[in-house]
Amino acid sequence: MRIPRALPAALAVGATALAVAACGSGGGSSSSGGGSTSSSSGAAPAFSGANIAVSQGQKKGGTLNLISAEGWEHLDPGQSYFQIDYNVVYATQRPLYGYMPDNGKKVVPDLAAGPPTISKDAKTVTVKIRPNVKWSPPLNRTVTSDDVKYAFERDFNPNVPNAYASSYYPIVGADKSKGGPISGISTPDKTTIVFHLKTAFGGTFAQSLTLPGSAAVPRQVAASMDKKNPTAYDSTPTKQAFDGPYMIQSYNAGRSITLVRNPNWNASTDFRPAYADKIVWKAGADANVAARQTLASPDLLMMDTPPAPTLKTAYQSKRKQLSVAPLGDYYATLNTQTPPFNNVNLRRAAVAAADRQAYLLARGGKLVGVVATHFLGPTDAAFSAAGGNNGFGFDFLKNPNGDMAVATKYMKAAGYPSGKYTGKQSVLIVGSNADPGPKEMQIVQAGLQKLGFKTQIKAVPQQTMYSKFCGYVKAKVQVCPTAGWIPDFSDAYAYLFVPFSGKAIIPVNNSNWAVLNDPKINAAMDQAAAVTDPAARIKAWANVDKMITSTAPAIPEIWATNALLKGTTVKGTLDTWNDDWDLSFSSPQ
Amino acid sequence: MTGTISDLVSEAASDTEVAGIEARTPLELFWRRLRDDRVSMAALVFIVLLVLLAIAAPLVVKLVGARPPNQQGTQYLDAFGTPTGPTSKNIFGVDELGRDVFSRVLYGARVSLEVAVVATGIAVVIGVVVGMIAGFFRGWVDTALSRIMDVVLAFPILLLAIGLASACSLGRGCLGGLIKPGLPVLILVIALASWPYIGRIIRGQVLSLREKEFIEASRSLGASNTRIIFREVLPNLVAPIIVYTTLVLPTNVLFEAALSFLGVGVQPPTSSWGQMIASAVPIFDSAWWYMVFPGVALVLTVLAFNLVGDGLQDALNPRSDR
Repeated sequence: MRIPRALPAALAVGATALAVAACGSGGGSSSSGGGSTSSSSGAAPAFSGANIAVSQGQKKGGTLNLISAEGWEHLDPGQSYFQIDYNVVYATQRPLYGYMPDNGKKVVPDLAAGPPTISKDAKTVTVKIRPNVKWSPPLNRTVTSDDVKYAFERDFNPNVPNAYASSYYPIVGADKSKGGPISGISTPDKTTIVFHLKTAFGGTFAQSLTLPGSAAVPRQVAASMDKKNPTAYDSTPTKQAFDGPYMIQSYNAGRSITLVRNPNWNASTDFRPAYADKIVWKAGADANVAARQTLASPDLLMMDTPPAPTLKTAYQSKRKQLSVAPLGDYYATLNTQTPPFNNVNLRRAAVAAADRQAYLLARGGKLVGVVATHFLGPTDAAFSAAGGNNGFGFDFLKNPNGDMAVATKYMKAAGYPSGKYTGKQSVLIVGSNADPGPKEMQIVQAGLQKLGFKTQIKAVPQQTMYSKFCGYVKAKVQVCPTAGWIPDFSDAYAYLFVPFSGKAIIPVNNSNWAVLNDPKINAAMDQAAAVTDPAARIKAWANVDKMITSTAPAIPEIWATNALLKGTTVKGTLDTWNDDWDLSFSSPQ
Repeated sequence: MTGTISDLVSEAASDTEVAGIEARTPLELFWRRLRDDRVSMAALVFIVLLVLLAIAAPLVVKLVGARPPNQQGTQYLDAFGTPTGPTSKNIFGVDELGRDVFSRVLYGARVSLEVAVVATGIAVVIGVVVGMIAGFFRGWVDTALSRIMDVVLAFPILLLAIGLASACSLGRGCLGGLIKPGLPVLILVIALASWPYIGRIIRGQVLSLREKEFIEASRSLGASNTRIIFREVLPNLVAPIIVYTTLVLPTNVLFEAALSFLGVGVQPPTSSWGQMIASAVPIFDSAWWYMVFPGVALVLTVLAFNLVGDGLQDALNPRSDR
């Protein structure tokens, strides 16, 4: 449920573009993982204990140089919830589980010693952690299960605003703990931690342990910092305790960060190869300049999505320096609780009138993805069951360029016999003021105007769009065309629950932008989340997707992919789960 | 009777040997001087053409066979979403949403001219009234009004404009719906920013005019202040008003473009030159036409207004050196 950055037209890529990455990566980067949809048939955790390194001839040593336009928001593992931040957090901290960079679906144990044990009723999850992982200096002691326990306690601390703990961690007693002890977590010994859940949520909970909120945090270091609001563990990241391969040596908010090796890190306990001795990351660059600099340099990795024109150049002449990873979906939400779009047929008409091909071109065309026909994306195991690229065959989603005949049909069904909206309600469209936001707003506007709606556009910074408009339920914004969603972990629950379940609606920072609260869909999601049999789970979630798509809470725009640039000789490895270069798997030479 | 008079006149004329010289009104003199200034005349012709084209924009678009300015077309974008260049169908190429740049430039002229003319008109009215009051009554009235003008001139007006424009750009606007989002906000902001320039100049003119003999004569004959202001002072201000109006106009065209460039101008999808240039910046490498055509239109318009303004100044005030 990370929200994708609104960046200058990400080059999204469909199946065709994956070939780009594959042939372009040569001996350099790993191929993108989006093509391996068929490899994982089960939606349930596919755990593996193997410590495989992704090898393309990387060498140990040297300094890895990174550049980006955007800076960091939260480097505290309890708060981190942003691609750029994840890059640093996953190199310096160890959550219980993680993903190999080349397979965003296969969960591997990180701090955990092996797969979790889930009780039959799916209400108890037990995790054994590795006995020989040590904290960085000056702490120098072994990481214990109590450190993991404290990490979960602080996830519920109001001073450590965590974005997903309430959604994914239904631990007994957690909602009332406010940072204190949680009755549902016990640590029988120094390497065992047991979670008692309120509902039969074990399967999904185990998947969510790949998020940085499960990364151990030592009580003796963080407890005093966590008393501040907000916690100093976030604002002074150099003072954190690190158990990952790297430590943060210096940090200049929004400008630069330097990582050095953690002397207490033991390679035999980790699946990360951690090639580079030092990682220097400069942020705050102009996106165009950074992209050109990266293309011309031998050793730079660009951590943002480059602007579309540079990407086109790279595709045409420097294809070897371009790699692509699947991202998530983008859609234009229609507020299902506010007139006029509280009428399902008006929503369907709006979807039918939309030129969805235009959204794809607005983000960068051919290389940026494919036109979406429903909400579960190609990275999800239930994607094929949900009809794959063709979707469920609803007539209002059939023509990617829009179909006015179908739109008129639904306008009539909604009680507008002329096929044009004659009501008085004007439609407010709010989107990001950064490219491609203004384009997307005008595309959605053009579609709505064809149906006779009076529209008004409001362009605001991306952050404001989420905090004051689209994510603020009382603002009652009717259309949010620049919304996007990346699933937090490889499960349909992470894809659909927060953006479309009525139970996920919160007054502020809401991510159910369509404010969809359909009792049938809510119930279907709860049932699907409890299914543990992989095949049945896929079927259940595909059905949920069908129900959501049928009520048209949003215009599906694209299933996006993220294209990234690297220098000529640097061996960058793309993390297909975080859709960015993986710091621990890339080497300067 | 009439015959004798005209005879007398012609006799007088031949007596003093000024035959062939006709009496010319100031307007005739002005027109002759302006007519001889070829550059200004060319600029004037350009402006007239531009105004005609802007007024007849829908007709012109139809005649040329271009698409309406807001019609998007994915078929005119390449596989990467990059706009395609000038072709017979889209003579100025298309923009990032596949809209015809020619018709957008043409409709953009409407916005530019409308905003500039209306805003300048409002600014001139306010400026003339305030300037006349300040200059004519002097004393504390002058002090108060002059300080207000100083404050407005010292204000970071672009920042104020951005703030005001975005504050009033939603829903019913601000001041209880008095200032509606879109064009009205833009016009208000620009008028607000430009009236003190006119006001100061008018004040200076009035200060010197009110000491002239003909005003004193009028006053000694018992004329009221109102009569002096409207009958004696105002007619003498026509020249500076015309000149400075034509000089403020292009500034306001640029101001509108700047605000639109910064994203606080007219609301999309209405086209405006500044907005087009802003959206063209990131794709200039691959779509030069998107920036060049609105840019050229903007430059030519501003240049034309400036040249006409200069020409008017020379024609109205021939003492100034060229």
